Amino acid sequence: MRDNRTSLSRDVIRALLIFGVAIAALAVHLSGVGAHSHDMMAHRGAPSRIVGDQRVGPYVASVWTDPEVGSGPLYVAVEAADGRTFTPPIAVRVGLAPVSGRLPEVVHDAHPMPVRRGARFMTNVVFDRAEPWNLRVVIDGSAGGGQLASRVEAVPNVAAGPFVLVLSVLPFLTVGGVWWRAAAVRRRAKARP
Amino acid sequence: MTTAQSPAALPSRVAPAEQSFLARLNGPWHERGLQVFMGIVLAHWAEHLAQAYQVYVLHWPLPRARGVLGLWFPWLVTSEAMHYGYALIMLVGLWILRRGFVGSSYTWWMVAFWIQFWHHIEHALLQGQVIVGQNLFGSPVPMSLAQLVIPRLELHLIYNTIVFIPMMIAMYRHLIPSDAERVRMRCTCAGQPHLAVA
Repeated sequence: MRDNRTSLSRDVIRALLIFGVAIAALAVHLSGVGAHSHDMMAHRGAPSRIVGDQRVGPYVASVWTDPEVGSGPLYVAVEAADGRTFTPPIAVRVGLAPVSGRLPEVVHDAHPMPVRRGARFMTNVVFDRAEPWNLRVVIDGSAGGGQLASRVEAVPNVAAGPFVLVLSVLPFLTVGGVWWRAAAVRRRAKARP
Repeated sequence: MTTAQSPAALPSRVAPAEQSFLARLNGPWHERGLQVFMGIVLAHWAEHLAQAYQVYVLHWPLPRARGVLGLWFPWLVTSEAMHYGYALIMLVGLWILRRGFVGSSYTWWMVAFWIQFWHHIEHALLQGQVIVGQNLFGSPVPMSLAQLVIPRLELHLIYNTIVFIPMMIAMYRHLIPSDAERVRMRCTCAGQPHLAVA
């Protein structure tokens, strides 16, 4: 009984070790390839906070986006500044322009989203090149308004298309391979005298 | 008049009435159960393959690239409930079919189960944020814990892959077991039809 248990724990440890190595290899691979994807896949992961809790008139605002090259959502979260009563902003606009000045600023009107606390606005923005961008958020409300300015570093992405396609095909090849191998073993076993 | 039959000559789908459903599922019905389960898993992968094809080969915009079912039922892709539902089906399938595995195949199957268990917790966290209407870490979108490390859409593919790999190793070792493991098996998966009535 004890031998069985020892053997089982040895099996578990061996399986976990092999699996751990495989996962580490996969993680390293994905961090280099999959983690920087084609612009179609960009911006669909969780956004990161690029401006944190900055005072804008009677509000405190934070800005969230996934700053990879391509198009995707940008969120502006707004709350009341300390001790003030929250009055939702009437309008939030987001301006983006390359620091280099090669393009004029594009201003987007952000749309309000349903939230339980404060207010949140969202708009789709485009970073067409990996370079620093000037970000401007203008907030207007009946209680006042203001503007915040910041800089965003758009980062390049690498096409993960072939990788995703191959990854999605592999399960079918694996299942087919396992089924074929099992069938071959069965055939051999039946053929044995 | 009845005819005596050896166990091997009996039809493989016969299940003794005294067995519980779970015992049958992990005995005479294990092979068919695994086939159905694998069908569900592959259907899910097929949706990912279709979506990847739409995005990277047909160059459809991402909001339009909803796989096959998502073309007719768009809410399936956008709803967190669907993803949570699939994670739950996977978890239940891995759990209820586990007893049919023995030896090293059982070990690998349980590795897949525990990873899926964590994957399910992550989906439950996402679903919880949708229900409560409050996201973790002040994020404007629901966040899972692994997204703190890999804040990517590809995280879903990574999770599916790392569950699928040990599952397939378990399947391989289950379908082609060692002699010692074969004698302990109560199902027909490794080509022992007489076990269907054991």
